[in-house]
Amino acid sequence: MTQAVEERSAFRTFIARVREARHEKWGDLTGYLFVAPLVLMWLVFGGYPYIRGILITLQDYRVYERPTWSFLNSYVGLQNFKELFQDKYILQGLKAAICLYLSWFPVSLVFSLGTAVLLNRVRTKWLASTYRVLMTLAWVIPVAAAYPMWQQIYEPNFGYLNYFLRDVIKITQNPPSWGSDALTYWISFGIAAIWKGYGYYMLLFLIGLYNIPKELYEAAELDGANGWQQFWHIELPGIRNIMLLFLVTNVGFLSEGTVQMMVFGQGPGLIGKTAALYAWEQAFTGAMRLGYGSAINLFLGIGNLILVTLVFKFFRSEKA
Amino acid sequence: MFSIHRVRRILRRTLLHVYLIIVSSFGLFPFIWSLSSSFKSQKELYTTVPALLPKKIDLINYQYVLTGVKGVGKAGMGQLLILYRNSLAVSITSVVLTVLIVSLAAYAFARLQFRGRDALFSFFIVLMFLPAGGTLMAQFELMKRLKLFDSLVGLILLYTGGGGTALFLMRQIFLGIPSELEDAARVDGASNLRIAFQIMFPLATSGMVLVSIMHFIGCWGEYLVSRTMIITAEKMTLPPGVNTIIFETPAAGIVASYGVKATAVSLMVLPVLLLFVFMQRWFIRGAVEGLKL
Repeated sequence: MTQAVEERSAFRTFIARVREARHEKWGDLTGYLFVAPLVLMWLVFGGYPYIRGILITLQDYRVYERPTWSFLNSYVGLQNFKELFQDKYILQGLKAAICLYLSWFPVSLVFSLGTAVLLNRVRTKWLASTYRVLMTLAWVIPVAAAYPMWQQIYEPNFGYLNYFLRDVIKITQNPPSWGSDALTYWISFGIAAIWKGYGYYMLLFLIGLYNIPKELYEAAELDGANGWQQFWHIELPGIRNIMLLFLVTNVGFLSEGTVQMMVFGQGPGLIGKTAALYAWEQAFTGAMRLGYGSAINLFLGIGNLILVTLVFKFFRSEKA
Repeated sequence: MFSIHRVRRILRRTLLHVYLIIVSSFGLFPFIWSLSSSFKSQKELYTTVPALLPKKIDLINYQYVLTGVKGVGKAGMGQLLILYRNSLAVSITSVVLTVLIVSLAAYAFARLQFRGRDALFSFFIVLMFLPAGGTLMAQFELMKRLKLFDSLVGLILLYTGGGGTALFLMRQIFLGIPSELEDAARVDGASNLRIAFQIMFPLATSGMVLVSIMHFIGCWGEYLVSRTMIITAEKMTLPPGVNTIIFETPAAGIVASYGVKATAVSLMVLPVLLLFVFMQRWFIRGAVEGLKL
């Protein structure tokens, strides 16, 4: 009987030792359980399509022409990429993407940063939060509603903007037709895009400013620093990381403009057809060339990656 | 006596507020304009002296998009309600699933020790920056193959699948919670699952609310995936739905396309706007904690 007890306890210590060894090697196994749903969902709906999406670029995939499309039955090598380098719409699309970016980015950066810094100086709490809410409202408004709203304001005959210019401040009797005129198309898009984004970016900068320790301001005040000096020596360095986040998330402009252009309208002569929108149209309208559309997207994505890397490099060298 | 110094300070403060008021109204204006247009009759919409507020409130646009107008046929009838139902179903389901999945994973990434943890987390973060190529096209193919193309279930699954930003934010929140409570519970022999649900999740509410609001706003406004995956009018969500022909050019002469579009857009915007206004305090709190970079 005592032998049985001894055996059992020996077995128990053995199990305990195995567990310990396992714990040492793998750690807490519930950890895997906790991340499993995320990883599984991602594998099926993110990871697999990601890899498949790169393989598709090597296929001449046209949805309607064949019932099944395996990788091998339509493999064409780099044919799609060769085609895109000769496609004149790609060049036009890149031009449109650059115009789109320039139409909002520079102004938006200065505008949202400046507004955040100024808003941070408002000491009355309820007033500050009222401003903040009003300014961030535009960000919450879905893209698919925001740009149609602006198109209504821009409407040449019945929109508010031209009425304002014509009859309220009486600048001109022949106001431009904004979104439907090639000359003013990008300006009108830019205003709408700035409006859509500035609240969010302002909030981002503001959060960065909130995280700057109060002591720094107090010390600066003791030293008699004025507003500008506070901005250059405390606030700007204090939101360095937020600035990096802002730049990195926005520098990839090559693949921008699909949704915006769909809901804002591509303007006269389709000058607003960005390369990304062209890719979408190739893949999901007409002949549904998934392969060619993917190839364009991948090309734009690699361009973006290079831009992001450059920004990171620049920031790192700045720090040193 | 006013010193020059003091006058300058008051002047500066006034200028500051004038600037902020102008910027705030800029933010609000398009929505006000759209809301006001939605209450205008056709006659009032097509004048060259548009007023900021409607002279006479006319509900014909609302009648058209919500119930249909006599003599116009069935064109606009109830379509907006269908879109609303679909958008609500998709957004709410996806938010619940996402918050649950992301919180569990973020807690594990922040607090549990297991092999390959940090590598896996960095992997998810790096993913955000990788070029996407034909992901949408491959998702299209996948949905066709799973027979989930043109179905709201498929849309929910696609919306719930990703989430690098949410994961990052939630992990930051969990890292910010002091570990004493957790250690005490562990000494008492509570399991990880119990610690997560009964101690950590309640403490991370601000982050969860933040993630929920952001994800809801994201799903509610998502255009591209929905536009690509849904082709039947009865299954569309709001963003592609209000940009379809029904709302662009209503058939009859009784309602104006301008007013119908304004109404549809205003109704689409209203829920997220209200949600944001009421939850913004939570929102800022969560964001300040989550973005301590």
